Amino acid sequence: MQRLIATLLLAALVLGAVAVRAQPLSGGADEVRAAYLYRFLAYVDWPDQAFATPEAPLVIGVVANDAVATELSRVLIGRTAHGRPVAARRLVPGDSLDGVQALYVGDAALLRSAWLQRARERPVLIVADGVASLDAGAALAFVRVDDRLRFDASLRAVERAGLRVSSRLLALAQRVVGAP
Amino acid sequence: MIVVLTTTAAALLLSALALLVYELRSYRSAWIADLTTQADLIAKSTAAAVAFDDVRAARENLSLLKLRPQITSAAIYTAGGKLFASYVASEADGSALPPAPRPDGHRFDGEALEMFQKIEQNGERVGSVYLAAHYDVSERLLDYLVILVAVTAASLALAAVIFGSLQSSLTGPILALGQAARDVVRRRDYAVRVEKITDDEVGELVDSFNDMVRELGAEIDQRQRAEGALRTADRRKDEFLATLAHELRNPLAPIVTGLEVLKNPAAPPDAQARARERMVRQLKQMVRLIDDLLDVSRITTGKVELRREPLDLVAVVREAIDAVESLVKERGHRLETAWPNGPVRVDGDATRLTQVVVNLLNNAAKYTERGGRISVTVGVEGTQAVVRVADDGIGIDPSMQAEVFELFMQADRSLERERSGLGVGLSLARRFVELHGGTIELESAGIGDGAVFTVRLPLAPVVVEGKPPHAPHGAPPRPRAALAAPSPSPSPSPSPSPSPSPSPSPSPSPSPAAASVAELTGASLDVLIADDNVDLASSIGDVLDAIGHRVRLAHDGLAALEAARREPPDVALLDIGMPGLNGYDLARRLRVDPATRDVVLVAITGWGQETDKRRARDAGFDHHLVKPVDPEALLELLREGVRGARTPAAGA
Repeated sequence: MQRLIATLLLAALVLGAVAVRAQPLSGGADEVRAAYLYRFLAYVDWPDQAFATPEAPLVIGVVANDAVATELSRVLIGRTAHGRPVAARRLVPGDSLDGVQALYVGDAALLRSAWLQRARERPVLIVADGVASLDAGAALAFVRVDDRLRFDASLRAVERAGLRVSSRLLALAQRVVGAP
Repeated sequence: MIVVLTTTAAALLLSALALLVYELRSYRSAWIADLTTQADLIAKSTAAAVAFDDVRAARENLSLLKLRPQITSAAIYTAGGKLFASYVASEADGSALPPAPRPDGHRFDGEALEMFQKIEQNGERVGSVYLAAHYDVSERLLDYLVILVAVTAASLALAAVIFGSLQSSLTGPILALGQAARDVVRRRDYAVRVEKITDDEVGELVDSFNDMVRELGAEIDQRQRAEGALRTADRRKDEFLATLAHELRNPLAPIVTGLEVLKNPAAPPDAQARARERMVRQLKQMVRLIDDLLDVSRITTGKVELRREPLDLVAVVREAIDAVESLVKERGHRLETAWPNGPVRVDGDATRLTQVVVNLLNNAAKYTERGGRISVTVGVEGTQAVVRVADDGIGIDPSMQAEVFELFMQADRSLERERSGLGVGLSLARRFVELHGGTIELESAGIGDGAVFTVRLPLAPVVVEGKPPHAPHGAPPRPRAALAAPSPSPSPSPSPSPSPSPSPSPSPSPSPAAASVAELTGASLDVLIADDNVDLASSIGDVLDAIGHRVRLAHDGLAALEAARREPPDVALLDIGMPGLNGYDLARRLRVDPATRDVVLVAITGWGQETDKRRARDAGFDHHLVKPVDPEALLELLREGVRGARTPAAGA
């Protein structure tokens, strides 16, 4: 029985590794989004108060995009970031953001909701789609360039959330707004 | 030199090779480390680009490699093995990119160093980085070889210089020693010296070598000089023998002719007298020669004993002048003398000192042309008594002056020379003077300028009971006598003229023969003569018989013994070497026999040495006479003997 579980886990790992591979957007933009969401974690530093305990997992919330949420859950199996286990959490507007360090907002309109306006003051990395979402308070925004998924960054949003983003990540951004 | 340089070169080559291998290895590992670092950097910096699929960013990262010209190409592969981004330094190398990643690690491919390195993101592999660098080992090797060759050459040069200086200080002197030793052996040059350069062991070696050569040279020099001296002495001896034969032969002719005259009873008496006189003179000359020879042999064997006594040097000189007077007269010389009024006291052997002065005077008379001038002065200079004999004769060449005192030295070596001599006179004179603690010197300006011989003897200490010696500096010598000899006509008297013998009787004697006859007339002695030489025995017998003694002859020891026992004689003249019974044994037997105990025994021998005389005394002889027997001495002895023999008899 244990052997069967181990085999299944191994299979899942292999499948996950395959899924993480960067792929052209046309094949499956949501898989790429899920992979990028996980990879962003390595380039972002949270303050200690963002976590309840030193052992608390790093949680990526997903709202308004079930495909990404599903994919992300798959990607995160067995993975860690900053020495913490990582987990995906499906959210609906109005859900508490306690214990959530990153949030993907599938519908940019939600950004202006009071629920998320409040979230802007918390140490949460907010990722959304489209250039305009940066103005609405997102720190990172997926954009489409040459049929590839790229991203823009808002230093203002990052700053307001009390986060720090690696310059290496910023170097890959299409556009960085709010530079001091 | 070659050995040292070869060794040095081998050592240098070995160390250079080791250095080269080490350097290549460290160069290689340094290259690998360098490329690994580079690959790590690329992996880190492109990890995000690979993660977010940003080919442009990855390319930009890779393009930074153009700052490293050694890196020829680079590439990024995705985790799936697809080529993600690439960089090629020059277009020519483009095709070299591997189509798919290989396992991590480095690989040398000819002059290229290739490397794969993983790209990690969040602890998981997101891709591979590939780097290819031109591994320029040949250029490096070339540089290194140039440096090594230069260093090796410099080291060899340094080694050569060091060895050269070592050689000059170490092997240089040794080689010089070897060369010097060869020179010594080959050229027999003992003046060779090796220069001492250092003060170390080599310097000591050089010193020892030099000392050895010096010692060797001195020894060989000494040997050669000794050989030379021996050769010279040998040559002189040969010359001396020739001279001796000549000198001994010369007197024989007048003696033989004189005998012819005497054998002829019809010869006029005055001719017979002249013949006798001539024969006596010649015989005395021979005796003098032989006496000189005996003296020489005594001196050279160290058997001369001086009978020293206080004496007056003036008296000695007078004796000497008496002895040479006839020769001086014969040659028509004028003899001038000068000496102080009082005696000049010296402590010496009168006989020997007289002999010295006689020799000097003889020389002066001989080597001065007829009618010359000879002067003899005696004086005192400081603590020395001085006798000077000067002549205006032929003189002596300065080159010969040092040698005239040598034994057998002849100024004129030719056998045809007009002046005869054995070359022993001056040598004897010098030896005798030196035995007295004095010196003898010669001054002569050269040939034809005469010569001055100066003898210096230490003055005797003041004799307490005797007359004080004459004040040395006070009275100048006063010329006392000038003997002139207007004509050297021989004296008609048969008595010999004052004797030129080196052993003149110190007592002034009247004509001996006449005196003996006068004294012994009426005192006839019974004389036994024993000698195996019949002629000698009978000639002595004739002489004694002629003056009135009774003479018996015996010609061997036993006959003599019997004759003596049969009728004890007053005096027995015994030869030592006789058949039957020798002289010593005969004397002993006569001495133990009461009948013959009081006979006066006289030994007559050919040996006149002191040991011979002592042996004769020990055997019981009263007197000792050396052949040829001087009749004068024999007669004197008989006179004494009679007295000696009769005195105890009279007292008994």
